[in-house]
Amino acid sequence: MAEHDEKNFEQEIAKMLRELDSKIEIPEIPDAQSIFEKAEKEKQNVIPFKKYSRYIAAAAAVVLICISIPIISGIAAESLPQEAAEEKNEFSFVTKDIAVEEAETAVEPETPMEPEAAAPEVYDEPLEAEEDGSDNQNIEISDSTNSAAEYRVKDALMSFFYDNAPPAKDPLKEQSSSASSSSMEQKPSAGSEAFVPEEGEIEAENSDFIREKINKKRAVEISVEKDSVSVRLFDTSAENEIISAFWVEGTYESSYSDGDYYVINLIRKVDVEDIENDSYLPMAGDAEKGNYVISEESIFVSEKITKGVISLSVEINPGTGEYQIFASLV
Amino acid sequence: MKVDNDLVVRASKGDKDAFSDLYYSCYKDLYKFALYTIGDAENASDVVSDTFVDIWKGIGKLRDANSFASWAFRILSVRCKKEISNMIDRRGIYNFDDLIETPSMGSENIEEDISESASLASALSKLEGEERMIIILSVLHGYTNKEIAEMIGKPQGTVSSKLHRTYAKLREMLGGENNG
Repeated sequence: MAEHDEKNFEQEIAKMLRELDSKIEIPEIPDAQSIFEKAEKEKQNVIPFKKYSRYIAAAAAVVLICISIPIISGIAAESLPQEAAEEKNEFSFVTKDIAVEEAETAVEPETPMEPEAAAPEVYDEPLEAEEDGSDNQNIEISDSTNSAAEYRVKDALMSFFYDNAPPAKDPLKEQSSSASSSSMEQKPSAGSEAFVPEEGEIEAENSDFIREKINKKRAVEISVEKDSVSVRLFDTSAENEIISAFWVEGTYESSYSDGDYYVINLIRKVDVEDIENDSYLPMAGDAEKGNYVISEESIFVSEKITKGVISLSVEINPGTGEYQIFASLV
Repeated sequence: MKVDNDLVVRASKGDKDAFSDLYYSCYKDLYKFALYTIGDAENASDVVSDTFVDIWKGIGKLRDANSFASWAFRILSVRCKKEISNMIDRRGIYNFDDLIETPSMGSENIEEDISESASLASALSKLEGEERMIIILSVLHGYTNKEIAEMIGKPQGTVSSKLHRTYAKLREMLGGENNG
């Protein structure tokens, strides 16, 4: 009886909502051109920062050195930036919400945050945390401590391409082309089949698709699609809900569990054309945040470039679904 | 929300005309969703525009044209959540009057129409933003709890319980008028 009442009430609400919906005034729809213009404007707003970021960072480095002189010995002060760069043989980076985040970065380019400290070590208790209404799908954000000199990804690549013969056919690129498929291809269904695999067991695998159980509650699904890799992290203990879904531009190389994280390695092959077209920086994104470019500032540049590739390493926290992307030009 | 997959495919390849058609065909649904959630016509319009900017930027990477609607709602829901928190910061008000169009003078049950819609709009304004999102996506757009969970970035169980709670709240607020 109570159930019947409930159903009736739900139907009544649905009817009222539809009536209300029909009464909503729709304002004049802005011209679609305004969307393209706004997108273009946002894109352009990023350029000045990218262009001048190295100078801003260089100025910051100079100020830092000046402040350090009275404190540290002269020799130590001279070697500080290089040491810091060597120590930081990794870098994390970037994922913020497109427009807002780019604007934030322009205002506040240096907000270092330790990756370990930033990622909560929740492993087996994420669902309770999610239930309380907190949004655990935010991506980890951390910043690079690369010095100004190391920001020059484009310069480094240009010198690599123009001072050396073009690289021989890269086997990784061949791997990429063998893994290619239609960009609008339907994703594999999200684990509707019943299975109880052991931890670490690969549930399904072919050249374009891997699904692996990474602990009692989590499974990760990696789909290789053309030149990008889609990652979906599932909660297998609650009807396979997705707790994180995103993609990274690059060719899939490997993946494995490493302590509290699940790590996925990719590479992004850079060609001379990419440099000329200014499209050498990899992209990443997810449905919630949209697309974003992995910024130049967040890519570590080693002293001597030996390959025209940007190596990408994604670390996922299976407990929360948060992820970080580390990038390096080696 | 009805979406022409062909337009999505063409827009994903950079076809501006296709994207424009997609924009005009989806605007109304996305605007209404934003208006229900935010309760302010001007902000809803801005949020929808920003959402379409994000969609244009990201559509090239959309893998499956069939998932366009849920993807668009997901971007919009994130934008709406941000706008709600901005509104709270600047002490904005959920202005449910914006939801109701004044009925034409020829309407037979004009008072009843206004009263019922006003009661529902008033009840909606007392819900949390996320509860409004869930009930609109469920009732008006017919999405399943699982689909809504993906759109608003919450576990399916949370969506189910919130939907149940939302009905209970509406029942409490409107029950006297509609079930008594």
